[in-house]
Amino acid sequence: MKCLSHHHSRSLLQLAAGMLAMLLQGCVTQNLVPPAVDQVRFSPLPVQRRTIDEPKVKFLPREDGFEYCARITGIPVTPTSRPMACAFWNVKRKDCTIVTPMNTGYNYLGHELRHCMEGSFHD
Amino acid sequence: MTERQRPGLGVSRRAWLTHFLGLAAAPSGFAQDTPRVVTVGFLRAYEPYSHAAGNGQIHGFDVDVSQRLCELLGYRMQILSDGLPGLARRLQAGEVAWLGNQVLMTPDNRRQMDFVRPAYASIQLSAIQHEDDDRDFLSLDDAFGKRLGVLAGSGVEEQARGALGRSVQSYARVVDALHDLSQKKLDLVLEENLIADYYIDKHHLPLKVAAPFIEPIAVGLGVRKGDRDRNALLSKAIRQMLEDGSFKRISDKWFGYDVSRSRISHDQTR
Repeated sequence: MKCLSHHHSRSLLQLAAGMLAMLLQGCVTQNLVPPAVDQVRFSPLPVQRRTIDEPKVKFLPREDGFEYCARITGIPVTPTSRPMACAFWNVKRKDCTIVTPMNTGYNYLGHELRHCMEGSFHD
Repeated sequence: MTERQRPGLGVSRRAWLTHFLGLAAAPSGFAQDTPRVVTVGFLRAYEPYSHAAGNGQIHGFDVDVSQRLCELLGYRMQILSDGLPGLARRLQAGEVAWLGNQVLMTPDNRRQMDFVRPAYASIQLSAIQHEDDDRDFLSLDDAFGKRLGVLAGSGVEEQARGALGRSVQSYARVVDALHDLSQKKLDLVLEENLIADYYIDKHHLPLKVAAPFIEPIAVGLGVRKGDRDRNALLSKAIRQMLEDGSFKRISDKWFGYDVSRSRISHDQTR
């Protein structure tokens, strides 16, 4: 293995740090801070109290994700806010569909996944 | 009994309610009930909510719910079933204590009557599809070029025809549309989720309630404007019924699951 000088290694570290920062910036959404509800830990409902205990989940990113979620939830699309994701489910068939816009965040997907199992847990 | 009469006069729930309130002016001289007996008004051709059984008596999901509310309140329920004009007249005359079918909570309707909260059923216009069909119909755009079945004379038909034209097929009875869908003569049907769930079970149809198309319809039992005492009593009884398991038993009987719980996340109408 070829060793690098101290000078070279420091330069590479700075470069790597810069690249990592750029990568991380590319991962975050434009709304940098997730909603408060997504920044806390929660205790999952016991299986017997879940709306659907083991749902079959479909993840459906759509071009009209904002508009669809606004239409079925009643949350309006305004210049300052819009529904970032939504889910609908069928208890009898034990299936659940999560709808998001084409660009979304981990928290939104995770949040809706909890809805699939626990129903309207924060309404 | 035909399903064209389901929403009252062969139109959608919204249109029915608009028409209903047009006929029913602000009630005056609301009569006091005879102690422990209340008359609750129901549409007689509104399956599965209130409709005539084989013996001619009115039964249905809403009838069972109001019966349970009366039990909790110590009343004996007397059913008054009628067509829309008759119900409107009797409501104005104070012969009906409340409307046993949940009423749409539009601003116009709010000016005419008060609504009991919470609603006990989450009702949402939804895409009904064959159970083998994995396509995603979330909007009328998705249904472009597809065979869409709707109830004739409804607001849904008007909107669908405006967007999709001749590919929309209207039916006098939604159950006929569902049967055609089960035979894959249609790609989808737009109908309220509870009505669809009811007929899917009743006729053992290989169908599923799929994506909602609009937000849940905000509904509630209608009581006389300003009748806060009755409103509070009914509200308390509804909450009790939802908590003590009795509503779930009624819901299971008619739909096979608890329809008081929303089927979407972030429901703003609750």
